[in-house]
Amino acid sequence: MTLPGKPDDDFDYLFKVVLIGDSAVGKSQLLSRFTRNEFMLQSKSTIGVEFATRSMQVDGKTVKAQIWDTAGQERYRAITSAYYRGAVGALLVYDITKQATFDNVGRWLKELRDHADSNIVIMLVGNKSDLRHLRSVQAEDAKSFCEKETLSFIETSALDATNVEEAFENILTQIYKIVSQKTLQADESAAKGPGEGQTIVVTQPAEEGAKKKSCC
Amino acid sequence: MWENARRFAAYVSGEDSVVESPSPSPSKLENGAEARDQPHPAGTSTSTSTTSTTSYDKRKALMPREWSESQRDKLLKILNKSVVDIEQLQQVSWGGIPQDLRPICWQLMLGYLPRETSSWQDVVNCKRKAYRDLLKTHYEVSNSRKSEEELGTLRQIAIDAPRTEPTVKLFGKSALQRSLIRILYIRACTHPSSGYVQGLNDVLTPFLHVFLSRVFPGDMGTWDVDSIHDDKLIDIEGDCYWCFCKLMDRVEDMYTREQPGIRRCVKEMESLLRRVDKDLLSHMESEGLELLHFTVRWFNCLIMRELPFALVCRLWDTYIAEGDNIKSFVVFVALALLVNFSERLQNMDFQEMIILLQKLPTAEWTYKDLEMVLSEAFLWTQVFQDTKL
Repeated sequence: MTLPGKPDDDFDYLFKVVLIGDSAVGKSQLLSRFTRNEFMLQSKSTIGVEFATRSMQVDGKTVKAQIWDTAGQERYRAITSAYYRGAVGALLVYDITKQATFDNVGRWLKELRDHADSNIVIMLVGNKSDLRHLRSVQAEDAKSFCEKETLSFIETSALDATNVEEAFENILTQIYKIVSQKTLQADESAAKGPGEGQTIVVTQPAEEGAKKKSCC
Repeated sequence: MWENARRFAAYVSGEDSVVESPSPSPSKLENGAEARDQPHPAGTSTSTSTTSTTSYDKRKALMPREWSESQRDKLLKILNKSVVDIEQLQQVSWGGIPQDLRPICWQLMLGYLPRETSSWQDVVNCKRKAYRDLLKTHYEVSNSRKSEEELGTLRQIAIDAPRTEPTVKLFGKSALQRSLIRILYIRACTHPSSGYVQGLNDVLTPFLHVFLSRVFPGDMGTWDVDSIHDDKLIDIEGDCYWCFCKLMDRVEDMYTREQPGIRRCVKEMESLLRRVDKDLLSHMESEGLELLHFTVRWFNCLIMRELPFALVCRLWDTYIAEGDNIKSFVVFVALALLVNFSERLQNMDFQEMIILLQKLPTAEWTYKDLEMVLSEAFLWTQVFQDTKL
């Protein structure tokens, strides 16, 4: 299985990342801030999925993130879970001013564990950090939750752009590390070095990944 | 007969009018020739409904005058009978309804108004009262008496209401925000199998817009809905509620658990695409693009998010005229819309395609563009009418 998209010359790695979490926590705003550096004053609810990409430098390599922003309403989960296929990273977003959106994080995790690849990298994101005076979820609580579940954690504000870049950079770096390690293992077994401009997909078994490399 | 014409004309010009309306007088409406000289009384609001945020030329969105007038004459002939022939009405309405006749035509085709014109007012009064009762039973009760599920639904609706068609200022006004919430919530309560699904707030907007146009003359941007008397607003809300329910009944399975109707639409669309544009489908497949990647929103919102709001009511004319066929017709509209961009898409890679498809360049579209798509959709329904998909 390959990820959609041509492995053209402008990136070394292509990673699919999904944005999930309750309605109105700011998933689409995070995507818009990260890919277009915009905050949308007039936005509609996301139905199904919306897609955007952006490339970043990680460890001297160009990593292209293919980001799928999903609808938040629970009713859509049957449909949106289809979009998890092939995702190597997930940003699980909640709203720091809405306790209920944090309480639901466990359900979203289960959703990912049921439908996404088992080695998907998950980062918990507490969004709307600019609304300090309205905070109802303490960062400490989120941190201890993440320690228990071995997730990474960051607080962001899509509105004032705080930590948005960092959140994506962190998760892409984590994915990159896993992939490059896998590639290394695969290369050792295949005794063949990777060339330039190749797409490597972390969800593939190492041997298959090595095989694909030459044809992509 | 005269009585009937008068009742009809009163209905059309909006017996609800809260302001001195420049709508044509009954005698003028009865006479198409005279009506022609009117400067499109209530007939401009759809076309000007796009916002200041777009550079859309509002004149472009107006229906071609001759077309509109011949449609009007045909529709008036059908409507000016003591018993309206719904099939005839559907046939003519399919091609678009002039703005001022829209409320009545939609209400008739959706079965909200009975075919017998003599009972219109009674039925409407009765339905409006029934809506008030529903409000009392479901909405005007304290939260402590609502179930956990109902509260969850209400929360979701309250989150989505402010995000309803934000480019059209009308829907952001507080009176309409309340209307949106009430209608959506009551429908969710009375239809627990589908409940509220995100995007239904969009699907409701054409009804609010069209039925409010009976009360407010002129450009939608000037409607002072916040000043409207509560009673009057709830009457209109009731009309919207019932008509919205009627339309939803026709596409119910799109919104029930797991949304089987949407899956069916996607499957049918793929099967059709294989027959009408195999090259495009092959290209999409080779790029790894699936219909599911972009058509969930298309079907969930009946393709209204893919068009400028100014054209949505025109699309609704045809949908409503399709009756129960809307379920399959919407697939043909989606197909026609997609194939419309076939050439461009075939020169694109996965990423370019999906970015185009999730934000179709239709902002400058006119009635003509939409009608091309609808005609094409119609042709395909004829070609495939006996084919099992």
